[in-house]
Amino acid sequence: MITLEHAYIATGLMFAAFSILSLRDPLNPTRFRSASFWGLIAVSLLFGSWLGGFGNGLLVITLVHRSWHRFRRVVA
Amino acid sequence: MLVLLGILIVVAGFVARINPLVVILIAAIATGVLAAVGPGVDAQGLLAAGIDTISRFGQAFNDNRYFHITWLVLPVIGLLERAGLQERARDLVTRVKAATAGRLMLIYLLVRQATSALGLTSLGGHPQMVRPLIAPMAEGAAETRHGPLTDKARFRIRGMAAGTDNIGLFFGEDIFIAIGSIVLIVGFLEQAGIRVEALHVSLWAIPTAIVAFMVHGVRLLMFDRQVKKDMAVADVAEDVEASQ
Repeated sequence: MITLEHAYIATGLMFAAFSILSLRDPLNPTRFRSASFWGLIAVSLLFGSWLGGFGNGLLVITLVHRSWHRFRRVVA
Repeated sequence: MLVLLGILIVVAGFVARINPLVVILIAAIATGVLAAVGPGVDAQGLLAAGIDTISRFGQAFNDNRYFHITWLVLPVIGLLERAGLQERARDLVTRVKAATAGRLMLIYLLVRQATSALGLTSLGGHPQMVRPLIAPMAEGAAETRHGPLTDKARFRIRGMAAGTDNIGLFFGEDIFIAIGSIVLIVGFLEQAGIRVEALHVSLWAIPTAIVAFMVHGVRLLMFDRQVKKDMAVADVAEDVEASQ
């Protein structure tokens, strides 16, 4: 039976692909930052159930940190 | 009392236009830590409170991961666009001589409102309909009429296409009785001590829908004139997309 967990895995693999593709894109000026952002979302979807509350909390803080810089660049 | 400082952080952060994600995160952690402040609580107690707050934050984030599933539609749209969906939509519409951006969106408004009224709310929408089809079609229609579009005209058309979708959905879905918004309206009124029948709410959404169609329809009919005006505004020298 297909459960929500399967949908998380599919979505997680998609974000993992985003991460790898951004890392390999030489034209992206913020490739490492983008790759780590999408990679963290992939980690959350693939392994979130095993990370525990505090692990997920740290993951959110890192995501916010990554997106802060992304956001600043776009605005500036 | 101290926990209310979290609200102050949110207000101050938004006023200072700091990234909302950062503001909310800091406000949440500050609230969690401040809630633990009291007589006999040492630094270690505050640290434990901070860790507890972060854990709860992470738990909530993890529990709401289903939001991300929406993004699964992205590769499908990307694949269709790679195969030239936008270009085909544009080509198709340039062959219809009577088509203008405004008239095209007027037809879309009618279809969107009518299908929403039948409960088919997922038929339209920004990611699956406006961006890949409606906006390029409207841009194509405007291009046959006015030539290559200026940035101002192009972004105005895209914005109007997205707005037309919103209006069609918002003023169409309430006519369908089995929809979340009807339940919300009935539930909210009941809390306030007003009893209404769900069927009446959906019935009386019809006049509202007709007025909404007329008001936005007139805006759309006048829209082509607006596009013409925007064509007179020259592009800014630096391309916005290139500077990112």
